[in-house]
Amino acid sequence: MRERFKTVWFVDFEFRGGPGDAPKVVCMVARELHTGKTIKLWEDELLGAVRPPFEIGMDSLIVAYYASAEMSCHLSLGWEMPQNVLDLFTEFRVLTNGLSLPCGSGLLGALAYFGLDAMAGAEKDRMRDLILRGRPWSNEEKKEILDYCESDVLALERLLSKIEPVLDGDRSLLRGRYMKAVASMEVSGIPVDVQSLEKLRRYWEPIRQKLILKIDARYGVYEGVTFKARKFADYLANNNVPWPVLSSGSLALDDDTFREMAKAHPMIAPLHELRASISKMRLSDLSVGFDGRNRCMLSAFRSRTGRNQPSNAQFCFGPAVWVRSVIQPRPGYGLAYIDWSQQEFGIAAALSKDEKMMDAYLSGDPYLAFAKQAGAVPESGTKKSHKAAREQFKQCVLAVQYGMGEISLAARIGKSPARARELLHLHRSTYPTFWKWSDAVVDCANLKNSIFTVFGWRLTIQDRPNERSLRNFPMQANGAEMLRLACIFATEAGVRVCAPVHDAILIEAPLLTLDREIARTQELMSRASAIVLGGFALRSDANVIRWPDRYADERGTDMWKAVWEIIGELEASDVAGSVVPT
Amino acid sequence: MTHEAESNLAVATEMAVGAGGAEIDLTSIKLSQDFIAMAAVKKLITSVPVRKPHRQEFIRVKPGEENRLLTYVMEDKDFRDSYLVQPQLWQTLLDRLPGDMVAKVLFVTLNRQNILSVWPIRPPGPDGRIDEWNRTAMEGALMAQERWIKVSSNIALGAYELTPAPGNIADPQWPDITFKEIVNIAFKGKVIDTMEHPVIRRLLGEV
Repeated sequence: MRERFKTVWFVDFEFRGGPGDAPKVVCMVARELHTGKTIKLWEDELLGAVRPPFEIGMDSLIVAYYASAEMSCHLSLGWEMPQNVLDLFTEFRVLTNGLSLPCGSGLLGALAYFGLDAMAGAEKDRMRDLILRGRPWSNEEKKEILDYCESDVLALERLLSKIEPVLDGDRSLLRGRYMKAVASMEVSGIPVDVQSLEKLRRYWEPIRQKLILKIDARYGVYEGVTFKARKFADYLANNNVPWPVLSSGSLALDDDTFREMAKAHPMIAPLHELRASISKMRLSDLSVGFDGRNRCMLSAFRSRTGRNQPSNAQFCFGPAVWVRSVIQPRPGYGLAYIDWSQQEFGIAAALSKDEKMMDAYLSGDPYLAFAKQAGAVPESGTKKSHKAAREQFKQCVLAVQYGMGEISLAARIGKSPARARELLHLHRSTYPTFWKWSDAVVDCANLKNSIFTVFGWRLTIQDRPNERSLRNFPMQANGAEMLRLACIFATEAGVRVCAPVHDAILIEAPLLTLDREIARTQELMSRASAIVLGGFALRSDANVIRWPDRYADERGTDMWKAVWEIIGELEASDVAGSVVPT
Repeated sequence: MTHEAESNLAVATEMAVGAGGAEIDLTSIKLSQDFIAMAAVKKLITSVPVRKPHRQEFIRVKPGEENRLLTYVMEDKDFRDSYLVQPQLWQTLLDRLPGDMVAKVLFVTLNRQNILSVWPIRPPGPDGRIDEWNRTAMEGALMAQERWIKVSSNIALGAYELTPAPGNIADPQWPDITFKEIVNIAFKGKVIDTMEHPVIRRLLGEV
C-alpha cells in the first residue's frame, strides 16, 4: 500500500461536542510516512484553513483509526474529503472479527493485539476528559493535548507496519471509502420534532405509569408495574395464541420472541411496545443536537456481519418503534425511508444461483410464488384469493432466514409442528440448489475456519460455531456490503443521506426535488445490489414523509397515539395547553 | 424518467465510481460466493435399504432402463433378508432351492426426505401371470417415474393402493451416484457368489 501512493499521511484529530452535535475540532496532527514531515495544528489554525494542510488527491493516502471521526472533522471544517482513506480500525476488525479480544478493538486494543506499546488506558481517559472539558486550555494543556494526539499518530504508523501484510488492496480502500460516507451521514443526522421530544422527555415518568394502565387494560397482565408471566399465560390461553416455551417449560419472554410473535399476532404488538418502552427506554439518551437533529456514532463494522451497530439508546431507530414518530422533516423538506424489498430472500436466491428462488423474487411476491412453486396455490392464485396460504409460506421463508425449527414456526403460524415441518420440507424440496449452497456455506466455514463476503468482510471461526449464524452470514453480511455500497454511491452523488437503517437508507430533500432524489437513490441502490449480486438487481420501496407529516411505523402508531392522549391529560391537569402533534 | 433526471443520474453514477476515491473496479475485486465449489464437500451415501416403500411416504422411482435390474434374489425368510445372487449360480440354485430363489426387478427410489432405497418387485412369470400385489407394485413403480406417489397396502383389496401427490411438487434431486454403486451399497455383504456361502449352506441343511 505504501508504494502505491506518493504520500501516505497518518492523521488524527481531537474534538469535542455535545450529544447530537457535529464535532468541534480541537487540534490535529498529521505525519507523512515517507518524509516523516509532521504537522500539528490547534483549533484556531484549523478553523482558518480552507483546505487540509496535507495532500488529499488521487496520489495520496490518508490513514486513520476509525476514520469516520477524522472525516467528520473534515466536514466540520468545510474541507474537502480525501480521495483515498485507509482505516486501520476496519482492517483490524476484518482481521479479528469473531475472535475474542481481551483489550477490545479500539486503537489501544489493536496495539495490544500486535504486542505494541500503547498509552495506558487511564492516561487516555485523562486526556479525553481534558479535551471534553473544553476551553480554556493553558499552554501547557494545549501542548499535552497535541502530544497526546501525536502519540496516536505515531501509533498508527507502527500499527500500519503490522497490518500492512494482511491488507486487502482495493477492498480495504472500499471500506475506507465507506467511512467517508459514514461521516457524511453522521454529520447530516436525522431531523427531529424537538417540541414533541421535549414533551415526551418532560412527562416520561408519569407517561410510563399511565401507559401500563392504558395498554394493559386490554391484556390484564400487569400487577402495578410488574409484568406477570402467569397472567400473560392466561391471556394467551384465552385468546388462543400459541407461544414459544423454553426448555424449562416457561414462556419465552425475551424481546426477540415478543418481536417475532407480534409480527405473527398483531394483537400482541402494543404489549410488546409497552414492554420495550417501560423496561429499557431512556428518552434522555436520545442524542439530539442543538439544531434538532439526531446524531450519534453509527458504529460502522461493529457487528459480526459488518453491519452498523449504533447505540439503541442514542439512535432514533433504536428504542421502541413508536418513538420513531419524533422524526419529522423540516418545513419545506421531505424524508424517504428506502429499503430493499425482501433483501435477504433476493440475496439468497442470487448468491446460491437457485433459479426457482430467483424466479420467485422476480415475480414481485416471493411468498406467493413459493406457495405456487410448492404446489400449494394454483397458478391463478393471488395475494387476495390465497391470503392464508401465502401468509404461511411467508412465515416459512422468514423462518428459514432466521434458522427457526418446526416448533418455533408452528408457534408463529399458529399451526401444528407437523404443518410447520411440512412447510420447511417444502422449502427444501422447492429450492434444493439454495439448500445445497447453504450446506456448503457451513462446510466451507468449518473447513477454512472463516467465511467472507463479496468484498472481503470476514468472520473468523474461533470455537464451535453457531450453524444458524453461519448459514445466515452470506445474507446478512452481503446485505451489509450492499448497504455500504449504496451509502457510498448516494453520499458521493450528493444525496443527503440522514442515516442507514439495517437494510434501508433514510434520505432528506426539499419537497420540490424529493421525488427526483428518491428516484436517484433507488437507482443507486439497484446498482449497488446488482454489483454485489452479480447483476441480479433488487427492488426497493420508498416510504415518503412530506412535511408536516412525521415518520410513522404502523407497529407503533397505537402506542404513539396512546402516549399523546396521556400527554394531553397530563397537560390538562397541569392547566397547560395540550398540543397533540398531527 | 425525464432527460434531466437521467442526465443527473449519469453524473451521479460517474461520481460514485470515480470522484469518491481511487478508481476501483468493483467487479474485479469481488470474491466468489460459490461455496459449493470452495467447500467441494460431497456427502457419501453409505447405506441404502432394500425394501418396499413405507405406507406413508411419497416416493419417486429413478427412470431409465439403466436404472433398473432384473435379477434373482435369494430370500432368507428366517431372517427376513434378501441376497443378490450372482448369475453363475442362478441355474444351480433354481434347481436346488427353487422356493427361495425369486426373480425381482430392482428399482431405485427416493423419498421426500431424500432417502434412497432399492425396491424389489417380482415381475410376471414366464407364463405372464402376476399376482395383484406385484402387478400394482409394478404399476406404482412405473407411475413414480413421472410423479410423486404413495404406495400403501390394502389387505382387504389384496393389492397396493397408489396415491399420487396433489399439486405441482418439485422433481427430486437425484444424488450423483450410479445405479451400480447404489446396488453395491444396498447389497454390501449380501451377495451370494459361491455355494459355500453360509446362507446357502444353511438353506441346504449343510450346517
